[in-house]
Amino acid sequence: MKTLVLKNIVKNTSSNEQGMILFDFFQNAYLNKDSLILQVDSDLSMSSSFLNTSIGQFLDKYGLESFKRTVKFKGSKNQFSRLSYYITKFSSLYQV
Amino acid sequence: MIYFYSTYAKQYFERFVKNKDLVPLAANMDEVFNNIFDHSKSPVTGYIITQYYPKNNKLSFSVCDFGIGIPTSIITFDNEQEPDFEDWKAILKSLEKGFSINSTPRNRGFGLNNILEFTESSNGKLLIISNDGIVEKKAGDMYRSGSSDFNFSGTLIKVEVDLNTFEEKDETDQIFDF
Repeated sequence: MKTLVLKNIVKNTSSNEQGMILFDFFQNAYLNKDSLILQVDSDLSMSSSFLNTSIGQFLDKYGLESFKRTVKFKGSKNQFSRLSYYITKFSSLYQV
Repeated sequence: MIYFYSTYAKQYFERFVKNKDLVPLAANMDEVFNNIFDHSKSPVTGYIITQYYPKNNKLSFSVCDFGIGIPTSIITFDNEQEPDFEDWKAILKSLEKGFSINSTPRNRGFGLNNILEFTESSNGKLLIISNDGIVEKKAGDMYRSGSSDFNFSGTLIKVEVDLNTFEEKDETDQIFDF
C-alpha cells in the first residue's frame, strides 16, 4: 500500500487549488482499486476549503464507504480526530 | 503568501504556550482568510493582528477586510431574501453550518461555523462586525446581536480563545482507519 506524505504533494493545506491535487490522488487510487495511507504531520493545519476540495469532493462523488476503503491515515491522534470530525460533519450534512 | 501567516503565527506563539497544540489556531485563521478571498471582493485583501495575553493565557486575532460585507454578499446571492433583512440577521445566518453563498464551487458552508465552534470549544469569544450588523458570541452564552448605527464597509472578525483549553501537542504516529 502506497504512503502519501501530504506535505510533499501540496504547496499548502489551505486553498481549494491544492485540495484538488490531493483529490486527484484519492480518485486515482479509487479508480485503480488501490488503497493508500495519507500521512499528515502533527503540525499541519488544514482549512475547510482544502478539505472540501479534497476529501469532500471525493465523498460527494464516491461516498463515505468508498473513502474508508481507499484511504487510511498515518499521524497523530489529534490530527486523526480533526479529520474524522470533518468527515463526520460533512457526511451528516450532505448524506454521503 | 497569506497562508504563511497562520503557520508563522503558530510557530511564534508556540514559544509562549508550553506544549499546546496550536494547529486549530492556524486552521481557523485560514478559515477567515478564505472567507475574505471567496466572498468579500475586498480591494486590499485584509489585515490581521494577533495578540497573546500571558496573564490569563488567552490569545486573540482580528481580521478585517474592506469588501462588500457579509450582509451584502448574502442579499446579493439570495434574491428571495426580504429586502429589509437586517444585517445582524445575515451575520447570524452566515454562522449556520452548511450555509453558503457558493461563491466558489467547493464552498460548503463550514468556514464561519468552524470559527464559531472553535471559540465555543475554547471558552472563547467571537465578534463579527459587518456593514450595519454586530454579532457577539461568548462561549456558553446566548448571542448578542443588533445594528451598529455606523455602516462599516467590510467585515471585522475578532476571535478570542483561552489557550488553557487547548489540547497538548501530540507527536504520536499511528495508522488509523476512518
